[in-house]
Amino acid sequence: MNANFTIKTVSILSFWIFSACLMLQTNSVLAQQDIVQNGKAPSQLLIESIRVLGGFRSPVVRWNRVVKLAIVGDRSTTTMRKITSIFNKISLMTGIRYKQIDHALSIPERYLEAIGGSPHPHLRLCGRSASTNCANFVVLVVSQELMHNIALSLPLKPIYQKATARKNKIHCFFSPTVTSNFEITHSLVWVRNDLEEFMLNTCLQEEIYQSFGLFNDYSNSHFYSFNNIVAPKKITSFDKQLMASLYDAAFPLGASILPIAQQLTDYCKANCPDSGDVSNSR
Amino acid sequence: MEGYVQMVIQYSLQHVCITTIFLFFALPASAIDAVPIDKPLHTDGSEIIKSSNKSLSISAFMEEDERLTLFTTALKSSSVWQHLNNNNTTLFVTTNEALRTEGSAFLLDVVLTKKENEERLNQLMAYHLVPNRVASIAELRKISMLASIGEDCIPITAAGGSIRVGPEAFVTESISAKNGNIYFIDRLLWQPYLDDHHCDSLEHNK
Repeated sequence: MNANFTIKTVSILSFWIFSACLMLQTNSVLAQQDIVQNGKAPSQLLIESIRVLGGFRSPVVRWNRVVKLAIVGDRSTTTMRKITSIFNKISLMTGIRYKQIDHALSIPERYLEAIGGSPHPHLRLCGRSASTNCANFVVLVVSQELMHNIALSLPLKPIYQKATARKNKIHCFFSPTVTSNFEITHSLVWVRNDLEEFMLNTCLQEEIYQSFGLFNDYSNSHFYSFNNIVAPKKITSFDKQLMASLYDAAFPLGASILPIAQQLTDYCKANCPDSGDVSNSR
Repeated sequence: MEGYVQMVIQYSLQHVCITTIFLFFALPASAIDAVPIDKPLHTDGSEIIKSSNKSLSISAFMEEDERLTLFTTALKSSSVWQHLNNNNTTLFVTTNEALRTEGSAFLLDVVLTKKENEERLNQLMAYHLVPNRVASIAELRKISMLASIGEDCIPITAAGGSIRVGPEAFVTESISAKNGNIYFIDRLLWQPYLDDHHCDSLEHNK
């Protein structure tokens, strides 16, 4: 009896383990291709969208004025073109225009010197022509050591100071400033200047996109490129659509982000089957 | 001896296979290289399709072409639609497929058609309409800047065989209609940056 019970138990257990393995395998095969068609994806898309926007209780936070862009460090034609191309695409989705500031502190050491000697250290970089024409979005493509010193001098929050300390090796980060009325007024993006080109591009696009309000990552996301994976990536069509949804003026600053995620999910129920395959949507 | 013959046959077969594979891949590449650079090309190397439909006005063409339903709906919701029947106009359009590929179908279909985004839609659509007729691809290639109906500047860049319109879009197809020309582009037109200088070469284009 006991032996039979044990055998049955083992058989049932084996069956379950086998089934579970099979399901896991099937899921991993189907996950990308059939994720929208099988009706499972919209809710998954909703969950991921909410997460990327900051979580269930997060309010609508976004830019509401012209972005004045200053680039410090690597100003090679390739990098500059990459950065402006990212801004061009974001601008279409958000309606936010940008202006590139031609400033005098593009050499990182000079920038560090200037903020170090200032009685009121700030992120602002002002144009050569008018002192009122100051940057509110700074992209730094410099070494980690220099970024660490800049983080100490500005100063940035301790988390950025610690992250850039020599013992850690990180690729990039973004640091937005959000006012009490839920407007993003400043942002600083840092990318290591010694990255391979594809990682440099990945870092630039990801950090700049996230600076516009897609603040969070969703680990191993099916839809979004903000997935906590350190690898060369491209912006997905879902990244762009969520950005477009976030900058929908029907939802004011400070309102709940839920309808923003919901309207994208509803749209995708009927219109996203072709882009349900993540590899195609990038 | 037998083993030696087998080895020779095997080696020969391998050699034939490698040569065949090499020719299979190498020949088309040579063929692409042979296309003259002054021939209008899209970025993927395909030629810009040219056709004529002089019996239809631009607006009638837009309403008939099933590839353009998303763009046409957005255009109709905007204040730009009423200008489509003017004489001598140029319209830049994007197909449903291109909009979906770019990820901007949702933007046009859901976001910008709301009343709260009416002004943004009007601005966006205004970039696509030029109150002058650019009659051919050849003529478009010679232009460096166009003024849209909203008096914004649209830079035109001819590089190699392709033609870039605005900062990111490329021309894929052109159609000559009764009251103007329609150019298909692979993404929406938008002026993302604040422009300090106005269309310098506009006089040249008129």
